[in-house]
Amino acid sequence: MNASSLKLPLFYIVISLVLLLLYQAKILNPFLNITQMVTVPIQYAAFSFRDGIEDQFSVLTFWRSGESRIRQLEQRNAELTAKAAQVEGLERENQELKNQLGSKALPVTELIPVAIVGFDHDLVIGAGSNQGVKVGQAVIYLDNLVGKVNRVEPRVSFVQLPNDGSAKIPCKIKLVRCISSGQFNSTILLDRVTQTEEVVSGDIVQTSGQEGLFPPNLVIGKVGKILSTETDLFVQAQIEPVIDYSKLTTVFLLP
Amino acid sequence: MLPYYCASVLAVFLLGMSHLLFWPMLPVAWGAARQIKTSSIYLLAFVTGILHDLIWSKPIGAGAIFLVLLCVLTVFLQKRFKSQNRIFLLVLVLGQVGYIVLSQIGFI
Repeated sequence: MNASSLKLPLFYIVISLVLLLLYQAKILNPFLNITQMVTVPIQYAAFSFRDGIEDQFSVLTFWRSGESRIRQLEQRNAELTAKAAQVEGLERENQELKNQLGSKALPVTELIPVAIVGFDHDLVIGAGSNQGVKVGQAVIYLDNLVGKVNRVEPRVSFVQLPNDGSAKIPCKIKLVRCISSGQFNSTILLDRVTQTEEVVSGDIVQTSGQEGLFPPNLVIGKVGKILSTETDLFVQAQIEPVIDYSKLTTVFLLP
Repeated sequence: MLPYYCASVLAVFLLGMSHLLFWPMLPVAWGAARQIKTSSIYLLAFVTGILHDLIWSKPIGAGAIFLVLLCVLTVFLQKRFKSQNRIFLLVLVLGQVGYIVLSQIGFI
């Protein structure tokens, strides 16, 4: 391959680099504002289509794991039913105490539902700066933490998930403080728990609310396999998210 | 020829199904296999890359850089291999693998 044959690809690469720089400097935002009117619906349709296709293929693998999964879910259902009854009793008791003390209920935060239009390195949601989305906003699903907005475009935003390599979230297990850190977009690691604290598989990991990154008590996941040994300084374990991020279709933005 | 193309596309589609983004490589692979003019392949790659970036909300220009570089590799492959089928499959597979790697590190 001689030098003259490389002129053309170099020309296109230079143009692409210029576009990339303009994009990073947000100079292309007015242009994106117009194009995303067309591309966001296409992206959403393609994302839904992909989900449909994956569901078709999941039927082929279901026979292997299906039976044990159904058994686990039945057991979990029974546990949750018992817990729900307990919670109902506690709620009633709590309300009675509040009535006696004359305290008012805490204000309920308004959640903003947003559709997911793509999932790759980040979760792409179908709302951007035009809809008032800001970098740093927390994204949740039910009481589970989905992530935080780390990039905003006019009509879409990108959500950094807890398993992202640069995600570090202050967390807690009951009263024990910890740090959850993402690993290569695949797993979440529980760290910074001293060996004197007791951490067992199945414990719920929640946001602690420290540093003001996220509101407290959002579920990050459950403690999975313990990775550290007794001689290590800190307890290290895997965190298994309760929700499958790739299966979400709608999430909620905290104002 | 056509059944071979379809089988190749299906195989590569299954390889990277979790991404469903295999399509940007298709025009380049097709252009290489049909032995269209080199300048046209580069233009095709650039336009497809920009379209890809717009549709998937990626940094504008990143997909174009990737596809133009894939084209450089394609032109090299065209000189090495005479079999159009082989070029088509190679470009698809290399493109898909490269794409998955780059998307995992967040470049595209």
